[in-house]
Amino acid sequence: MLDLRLHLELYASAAIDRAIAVYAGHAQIARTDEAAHAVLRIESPRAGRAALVARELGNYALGLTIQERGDVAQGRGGAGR
Amino acid sequence: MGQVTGMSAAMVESLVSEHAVSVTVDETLYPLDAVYGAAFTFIDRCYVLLDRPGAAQVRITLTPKSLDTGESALRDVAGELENELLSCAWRAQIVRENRAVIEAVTLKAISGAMGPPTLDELEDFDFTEEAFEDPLGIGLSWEEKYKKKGPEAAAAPAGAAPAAVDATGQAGDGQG
Repeated sequence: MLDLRLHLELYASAAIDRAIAVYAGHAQIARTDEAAHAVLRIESPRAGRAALVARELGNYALGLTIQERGDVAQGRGGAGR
Repeated sequence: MGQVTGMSAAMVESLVSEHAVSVTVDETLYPLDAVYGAAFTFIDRCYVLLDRPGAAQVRITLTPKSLDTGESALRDVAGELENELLSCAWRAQIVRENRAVIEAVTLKAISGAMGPPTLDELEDFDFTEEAFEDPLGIGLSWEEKYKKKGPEAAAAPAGAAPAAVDATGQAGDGQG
């Protein structure tokens, strides 16, 4: 079991949810929100899988957050994605 | 774990751990857009994690995806990240300073691409603006500037323009 903490000022909440949806097939992922962080509890019966999923999920959520910010800056908006 | 940066710890602080490197930056010097931009360039070869250890601070943790990464390689990664941060921050500042110029040029290009004005637009156009001042006659054609003005000009030798008369009042050859 592994906890991944993503700061909500740095990661878009919608991006975290989308990343969870993408990686839900590779591990069991549960999200709880604390004051400033989204805490993702990642579990997998396979050794090392939870850590790998956590890292990949973090990258994916960051990529989506940056993409979303770019879309907002260019006036395309993030709705519907 | 050791500090690898040569910069002031208040600005940028890098820590190399066993298989990861953390760089903490002051957000007042490196805006969030620059942090995202720099972090994104590493996303293909590192696992990137952002966090906020304090107010107006952002910590970037890079874990290389390749497992055979030694400490010197991690130091290189930290250096590259710091360079990229500086580059992104500088680009962000240039964009911010030149935003008005970029917008004006873009607007001009778009309005030019929209085609010629319609008759209605021409009808509404304000032509009352006065012509620009031209005390030296730069906007005049050669014919307008040197045309014969009266009988005195007609008495001058052929080919000698009024402008060719030097300060002593003697007519030149019209070439100098």
